[in-house]
Amino acid sequence: MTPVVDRTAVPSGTADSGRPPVVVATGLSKWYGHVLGVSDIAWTVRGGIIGLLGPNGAGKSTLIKLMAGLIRPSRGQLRIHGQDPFADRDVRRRIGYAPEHESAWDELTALELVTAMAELAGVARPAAEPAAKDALAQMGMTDAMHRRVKGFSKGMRQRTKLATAIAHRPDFLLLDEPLTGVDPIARAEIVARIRELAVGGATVVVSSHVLYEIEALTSEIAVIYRGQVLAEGNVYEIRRLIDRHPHRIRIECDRPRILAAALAAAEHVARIEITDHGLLVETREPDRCYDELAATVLEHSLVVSTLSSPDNNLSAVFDYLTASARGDAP
Amino acid sequence: MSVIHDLGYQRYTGPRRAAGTRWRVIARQQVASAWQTWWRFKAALGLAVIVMCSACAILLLAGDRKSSLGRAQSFVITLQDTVLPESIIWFCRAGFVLTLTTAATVVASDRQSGAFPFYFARSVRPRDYVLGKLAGTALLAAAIVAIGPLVVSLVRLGLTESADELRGQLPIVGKAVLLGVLTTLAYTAVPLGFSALLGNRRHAVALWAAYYLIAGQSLYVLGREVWAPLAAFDLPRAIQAIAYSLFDLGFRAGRDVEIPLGVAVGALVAHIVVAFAVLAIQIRRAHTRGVGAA
Amino acid sequence: MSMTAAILTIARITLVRLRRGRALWVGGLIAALPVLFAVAIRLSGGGQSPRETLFGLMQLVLAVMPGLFVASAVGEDIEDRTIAYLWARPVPRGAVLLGKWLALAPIVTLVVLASWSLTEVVGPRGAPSPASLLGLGLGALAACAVGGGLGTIVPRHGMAVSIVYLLFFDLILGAMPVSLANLSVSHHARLIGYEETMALSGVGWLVGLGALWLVIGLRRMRKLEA
Repeated sequence: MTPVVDRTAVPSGTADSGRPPVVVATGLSKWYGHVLGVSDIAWTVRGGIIGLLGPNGAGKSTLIKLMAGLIRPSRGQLRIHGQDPFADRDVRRRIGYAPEHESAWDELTALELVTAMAELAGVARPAAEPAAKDALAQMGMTDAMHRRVKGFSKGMRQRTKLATAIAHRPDFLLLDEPLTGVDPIARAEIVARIRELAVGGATVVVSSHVLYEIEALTSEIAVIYRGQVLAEGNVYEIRRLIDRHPHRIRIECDRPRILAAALAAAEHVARIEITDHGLLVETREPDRCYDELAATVLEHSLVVSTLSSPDNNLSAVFDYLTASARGDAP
Repeated sequence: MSVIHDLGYQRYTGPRRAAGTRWRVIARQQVASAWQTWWRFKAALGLAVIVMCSACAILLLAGDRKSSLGRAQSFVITLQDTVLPESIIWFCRAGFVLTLTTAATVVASDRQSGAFPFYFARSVRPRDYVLGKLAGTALLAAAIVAIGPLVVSLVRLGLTESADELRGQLPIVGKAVLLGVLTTLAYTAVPLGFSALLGNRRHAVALWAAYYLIAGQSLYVLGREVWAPLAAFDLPRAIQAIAYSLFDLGFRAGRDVEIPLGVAVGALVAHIVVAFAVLAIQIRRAHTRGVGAA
Repeated sequence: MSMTAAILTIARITLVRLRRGRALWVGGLIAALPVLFAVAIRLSGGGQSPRETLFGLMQLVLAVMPGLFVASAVGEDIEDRTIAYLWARPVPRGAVLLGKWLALAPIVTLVVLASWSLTEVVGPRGAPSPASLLGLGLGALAACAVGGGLGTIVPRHGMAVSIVYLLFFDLILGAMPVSLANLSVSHHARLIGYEETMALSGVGWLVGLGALWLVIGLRRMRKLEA
């Protein structure tokens, strides 16, 4: 899937090794009785937007709750800006957390809720209400801010919740499934807002199991599966590392057989499939393949109408990673 | 024109549970969820076991001394004979604990958590729901307020010294069962009725506790001061009065309000009928308002 | 954020929620029961009800009200998962319990005292004695602390456990003719408010018991997870 938002302005996340780490987890484990939440996680986040990906029950919410200081690790260590988020409450001033669930204090209005949350996050009382109004406005909730949360739809609750997370201007945002139940227009607004916060210097960890939501936000991901970090980093780099699966390139051109004949001799090409309008090439060295492709096109003056990579996206990467973790990879 | 494409989905065509037995699923789920934690059922069960063991121990120690509570002219009431009717008030206390953690929260919890759509989006009728919740709660209540008295009555039989005495004591098993059934019905229907009155479980529990404790005590005192039948509206005292009557015990002069058997049974039946009505009306109302209107 | 500021903010939120919810109405209805009883006795010509009975009813009110208001307050936030909003912020964990207690305990106390005053106006004395107001008032505050402490120990069933404790354990403990009775809130509320004796030591015990239960609650809050 092609990203719908330009990512160029957003700072990279884990890859930016020059920045001091925001999150450092070492041997981090959490059990709920006999149920495993996360297991032996070693993970470092340095900034930007990081998408926390994983199927339901993978441990995304547990990891976010650990980072928010809501639960204590059963084993291992977790540091946010060098401090323990469960024990050191000062560090929580820098954290903005939007939980996964919709529950809120229904008797309060959106403005009262966000104002109270801003105050509890350390914003001085006179400044709390303007900050709350500003946060609600950013989430498109100005018209509804004097209404009680009880009457809110799922999407409005979601936006109010996000406003509580950003009202005190934290520099580390933890957003657990923030786009669930939000309509497409509001979703685009929220995505834009999260990206603005990241451009402004905030580190954002967003969890989701909906891949295109993450894809719209960032290319920096961490894949959680069965309580462990399966992969982390740039989605395209991760894709390159999955050498078990050849990289697929779809080409639509006027004379596909000529192109196929030229590529068939190459060592890195694992398979070529000729279709009605073009061909599908599977290669183990995509960069080299693209170079040779360009040379062949120029040499034979081929007319190429489409050049795409059907598995160079998050969905494919996610499928490959979880499939190999399940042990059912080919 | 509408069309269903075959995408691998197939409607379930296997055997289906008869509509008339679906309440059993709800009852089973009710018992299973109560069993899951210590506080919902096991704590009350523990209290009931303590009461039962204490009653059995007293039975063993009491011997055949004459009790001052006997009111029959033709035969002597021994201390052993008084243990079961005297212990019923303690079983009621254990039953009350169960109502606080389970029975008084049942319907209110379902409304609060939005569980009604899960029931009524299926082919579950309001009567299946009511019957299922009643049956599930009754099973739990029976384990607290009916099994104990039955065991005590059986132990009493075991202490008889001759076949004639055993034959003479046999009716106490029937009386214990009757008492257990009545108590179970009261400790099931009435708190369930309260749980259906309000949509918030802690409000429902508070109101039930206040009715049981404060209104019950008030009516009992009013019965003593003003008009005796009012005392029968204190649930545990009404059950105790039935127990006393069944076991031919007399009320303590100046301490107990003498509640006639008919009045006690009437008050208990009135409680149960009103509670059933509240439960049925509230569930039907929630159902007719539509799924999600709970 | 300082402990005081956090407590005050949480207390304010709790009060707004209480004002807009139904709990206050349910509490008012419960507190009205002894008054209705006193009125019924008076109207029926049954004479004035014994003060002991009236005070006994108030002790039952004291057993139910902390459960309704305080014991379920922390547990409700944990069960509804709204506690995440508080604990994800730089709020001392104890502030949640203290803020709720600060908002709710005075409300419970006021409702209990109003109920008792009206009951006494209708009842034998015609007006409540200062000692009875002191006994019931302090008893309500201490019972709320018991409820708060128990609510943190058994968050999901705080209300039921609080009622059962105050009804079956505290009242029975208080009736014991041994010094263990000093650990009972209802015992001291009764000594001060009904028997009108031992005011100073009773006040001390009630304050101490309330503080003890709050400390238990505060220690427990440190370990609770969302």
